[in-house]
Order: sequence, then C-alpha cells, then structure tokens
Amino acid sequence: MGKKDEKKKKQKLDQEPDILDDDDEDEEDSEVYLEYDINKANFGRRDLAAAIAKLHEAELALKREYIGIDNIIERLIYNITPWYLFPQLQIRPCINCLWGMTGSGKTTLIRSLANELEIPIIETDVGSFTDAERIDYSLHSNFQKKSGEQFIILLDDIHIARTINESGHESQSSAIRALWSLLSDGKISINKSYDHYWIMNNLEDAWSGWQNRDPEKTYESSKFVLKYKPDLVNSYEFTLDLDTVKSALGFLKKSDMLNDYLARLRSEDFGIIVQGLLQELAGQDKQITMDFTKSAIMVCGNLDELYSAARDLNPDASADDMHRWSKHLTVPDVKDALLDRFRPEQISRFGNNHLIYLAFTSQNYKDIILKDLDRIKEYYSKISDIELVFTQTVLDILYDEGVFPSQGVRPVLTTVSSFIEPVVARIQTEIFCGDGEFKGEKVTRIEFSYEKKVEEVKAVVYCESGNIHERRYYASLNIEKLRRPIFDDKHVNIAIHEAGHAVIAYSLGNKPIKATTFSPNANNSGYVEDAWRDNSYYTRDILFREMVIGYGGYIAEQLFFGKDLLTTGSGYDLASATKIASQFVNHWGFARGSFVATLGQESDS
Amino acid sequence: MDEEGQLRMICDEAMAKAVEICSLHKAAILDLANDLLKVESLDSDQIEAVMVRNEVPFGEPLGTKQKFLEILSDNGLEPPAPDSI
Repeated sequence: MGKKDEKKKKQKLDQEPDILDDDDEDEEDSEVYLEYDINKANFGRRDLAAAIAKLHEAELALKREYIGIDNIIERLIYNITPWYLFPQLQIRPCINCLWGMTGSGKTTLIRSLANELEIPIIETDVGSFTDAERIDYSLHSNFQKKSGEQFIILLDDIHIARTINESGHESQSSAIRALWSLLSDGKISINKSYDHYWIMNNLEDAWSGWQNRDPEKTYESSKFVLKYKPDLVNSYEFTLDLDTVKSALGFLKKSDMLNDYLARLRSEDFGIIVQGLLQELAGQDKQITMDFTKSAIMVCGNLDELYSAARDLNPDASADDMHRWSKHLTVPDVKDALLDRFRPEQISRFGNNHLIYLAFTSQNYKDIILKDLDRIKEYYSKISDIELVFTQTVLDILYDEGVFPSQGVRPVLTTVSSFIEPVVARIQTEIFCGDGEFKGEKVTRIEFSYEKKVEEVKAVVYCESGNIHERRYYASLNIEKLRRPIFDDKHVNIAIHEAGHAVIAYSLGNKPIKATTFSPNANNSGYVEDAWRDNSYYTRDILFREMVIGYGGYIAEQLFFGKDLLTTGSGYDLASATKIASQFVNHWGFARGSFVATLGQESDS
Repeated sequence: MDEEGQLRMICDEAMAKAVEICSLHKAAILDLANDLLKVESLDSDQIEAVMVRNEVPFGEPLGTKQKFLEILSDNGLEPPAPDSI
C-alpha cells in the first residue's frame, strides 16, 4: 500500500460516522476494513456499525435511568466495548468489579445493561452458595448450554462470599472454589460424577421397571414421560421424569433432540431408548469443562467499610460530606478492604477494572425523588389525563423523611411509595368513582403540598368547570418529628454542650458546617459537624485540636451549670479524647519524652 | 514518666486549652446555644455570624501536605516541574 493509500485509509478510519452509512459499501472502502479481519470475528460491517450504535444507545439510556453514576456508566461501556464488538477475539472473560455502599444500584445497573444490549444474563448470588449448593454445579445445571456463548454473568453480593472470616482466619468453603478459575481463565471444570450417578440411577430404575412391567397393564404419559400404575401386589412402580431425560441428553449434547426422544419414550420404543441412553452415558468422560471465556463477568459487592460513615445510620449525616469523602477512594483502598475478605491471590483474579461508586450527593437524592415522582405523574397522566403537580413542600418532606445518606436509594424510594403514593391513589379513586363533589366534574390537575404542623398532605383539585376542591390526608411523620425543637431542660443542656464544641472548633480553625440539638438518631441527641473529615492523614497538631474540641461540650456544661449538674452526655466525647491520647502515647510517638510502642495491638484499638 | 502519667499529661493539656477557650468566649457559647434552641439546625454561615457577633477569632487553619512543602521550601527544596514527575 502506497503512502497515498495509507493516508486515504487513515482518513476513512477517522470518519467514524461512515461506518453507519448504508451507501458506503464500494470496493475501495471494503479494502480498508478487510485489514481488520472483521469477518473473521463473525461481524459484517453493518453488524459492527449496529453494535457500536447499540452501545452508544445503551450508554444514553442508562444515564437517563440512573442518577449520579454517569462516570461509572461511561467507564463500564468503555471497558466492555471490545468484548461486545469482538467476542470471538476474547480468550478470557471481560471482568468488571462494581463496588459501592448498599443501595447504590449496582445490581440493577447490570440488569439494565444486559437488557439494553439484549445480551442474556446469568445472575448468581455468590453469597448464597453452600457446600451442598456449589457455584460450579449451579452454573452447570442451569447454564451448561450457554457454554461458549456471549453473555453477561452477574456475580452478586461477592462481599458475603468471603474466604477469610471475620476473625481473620481462612474459611475452607468448597462452595465457591470454582469461582476463582471462572475469574482467572473463564473456564470451569466440573466432575460430573454426582449428576452422572443421579441420571444413571434413574435410567436404571426405569429400565428395570420396564423389564418387570406387566404387559397387560396400562401406562400414563402425561406429566411424566412414562408412569406405570400398578394395581397388582408385588408389581413394580417406575417413572422416568422429564428432568432425567433432559439431563441425560444435555450430557450427550443432544438437547435439541428432546422432542424426538420424548415421542419415542412414549411408545413401545421405551426400553430401547432407555437402554441406549444408559450405554451412551456409560461411555462418557467424567470431566466436563464449561467455557465462559466469551462472557463479561460483572462482580458486584458492598464494601461499606470503605465509606467512612457507612455505619452511621443517622439520617442527618451529611450526604455531601460523605460524597466528598468518597471521592478520595482509590483502587488500592478497594484491594485493602478486600484483603479482610479474600486471600491476595484471589483478589488478583478480580483484575484491575474496579469501578468505585461515589456516595450520592444531596442533589442526587433530590433528583432521585423527582424522577420517582415523575414516574407517578406519568402513570396517572396515561390512565386519567390528569396533571399531577408536587410542590416543593412535598419534595422537601420526602427528602427529610427518606434520605439516610449511608443507606442509598432504597429508603428514599420506599418513602415515596409509602408516603405520597397512597394519597395519590386515594384521591384518584375518589375522582374515578365520581363520588360527592366530583360527580360530573372533569378534573384537569391536582396539586399536592405538605403541611408539617398538621402532618397532612393537601390536594387541591382543579376542574374543567373552574371549580376547585380541596382534600386533606393525614400522612404521619416518622423522622422529621424527631428533629422538632422541644424547649425543655434536656435540650437547653444539649444546646450549651454543642455550642461549646462549635466555639472551640471555630477558634481552632475548624469551621463547623452544621450544628443541631435535635437528631433523629436516639443515640445522638445533638451534634456539630466539622470540616476536618477530608484529611487523608493526621498530624499531632490536628489530633490535639480534635481532643480539645472533644472536651468542649463537657467544659461548657461545667462552666454554665457547675460540676454537680454535669450529665452523662459527655461520656462518648471523653472516651474519644482519651482514646486519642492513648494512641499518642502507645502508637504514634506523639507524647513528650521517650517513646516505646505497644506491640501486638491494632492501631485503632 | 510512665505511660499513665504521659496519658494524663496530654489529657490535662487538652482540657486546659478547652477551659481557656470556653472561658474566654462564654458569651459566644450562650449566644449560639440561644440560636440553637430556636431552630432545627444552624448551618455554617449562621454559626459564623454568631462567632463574628461575639468576636471569636477564627483559628489558624491547618494544612498537612502543604505545610510540609512550605517548610521544606524554606529549607531550600525546589519543587519539581509539573511534567517531570
């Protein structure tokens, strides 16, 4: 190829949209693309163009469906592109690991991806396998026929399938042993002896029953392939069930001949067929290898310990703070967290495509609520032509009641469905039934708002006639009620306590972000959120200041109320400060004088 | 000094600092507590307003990495050019 041709080829390749062009099939272009042996990868040019377009459409659809994870979707689509376009070129599975907090939508994302790409998906809950129900047997019984095909394997809840237990010892479970060869080279070898034995046993029973049958009696062949109904003493009952026949033909790679076999088994050929199956199976190899090299393996797991505040179930924990902190997470952090659960060589088999979910921001949660309300609007607009409007008060109350930043999307969606959906359903039912003041009215619009003081959802119904009706529905608050100020002795004490923390924090250069004396969390009546959470490492100076801030509540209480009126509320603060001081002395060498480390203790003990 | 003595010394030092700041800004604590009792929560701006009103100075913000760089720069460390790493 001359320089001119090479230049021409490069230009063609740069013109990506040309691939999609119907009229672009002249000989000159074919020469360019033949260089890439696309046909050998079982793709014609038009197929390839369609596949690229499908990937692009999938990416857009997923971004529309999921909020706050655009970066995850982009990386996932990028990572799977070679697998999706050229599966035949794959010599091992395409592995992607998705890590996040609970309820961040990892599993549903993979299901949606499979749906968008129209690729079959095999879902396995890896955490559920036991020695009796092993992953290799499960894949074999359910998916043997997919061996060698292109599909997605979802290995869900991998964090539960630990090989290192909570005490740090290895747990010897054979349930997921095959998982490691699946991740390593995409192949699983299974000793078929158990299944083989089971099938042979059933066939031998049937064969023996057939031989001892009473030729005068009848047989039924409805639910079972064949069932002899004995009515004589000492006669022999036998059945040959469909599962045995299917499994036997699966072993013999004759699954496509099931109907032929069933027809013959229901005739006088029964004995010949059963005997033939027995002979063929007796000559089978004992090892079966399942080939998953053409698959994309999606490993999903919750690594809550990665997210510093994931165990903080306080709904007033800051979503934005958690999001900001989660931005610091790296692949080595993931691998470190995995070390508590898996051996190093097992972690290496997860590969390096680790997609780390960021914690949702407060705006993400608001968008999730809006999207779910849109779903309700769309549904009712379809069935009734009534426009639903949710005012800001509804959005606010759904956020305040539904968002637990460490718990992800689920609490938010269940709050929408339990808080607002029943109200919408009730008023729609009243309108549909045309009872009372809605008789003869054509309703065009319903506007919903929430009134906190009376805990009621107000629905203002606008009719074509110009009439406006109002309905009110009691919708009890659960979380928000706990945040309401109550002016009593206890809260006055808490206010002074929290103010003490805040004033010290401010004067030590740690600006408080939020302060409250009312927390929905029963274990924590008030708190001051500060700005130092973002530190990736700490100096003596920072930690000493943390100790001083920690003492702030205790000292303020003492200053205003005296020693006799000190409360137990400072217990946690004092313990935390003492813990830091202890680590100053025993672990970090921060104390004055010589330092002798205390060995054999965890640094955070 | 033994381990317990060292521990006690650090705690006493931190406690003394807390007493010093709280005593100095007792009025600010009361003012902030008063505001806290009126609303569900105070945000960063509202807290700062109370501090400014009571003339509580904002302490020296802490740096870690930047601080180390600054110290070494004072001692002659030349930062590498951005594209040389």
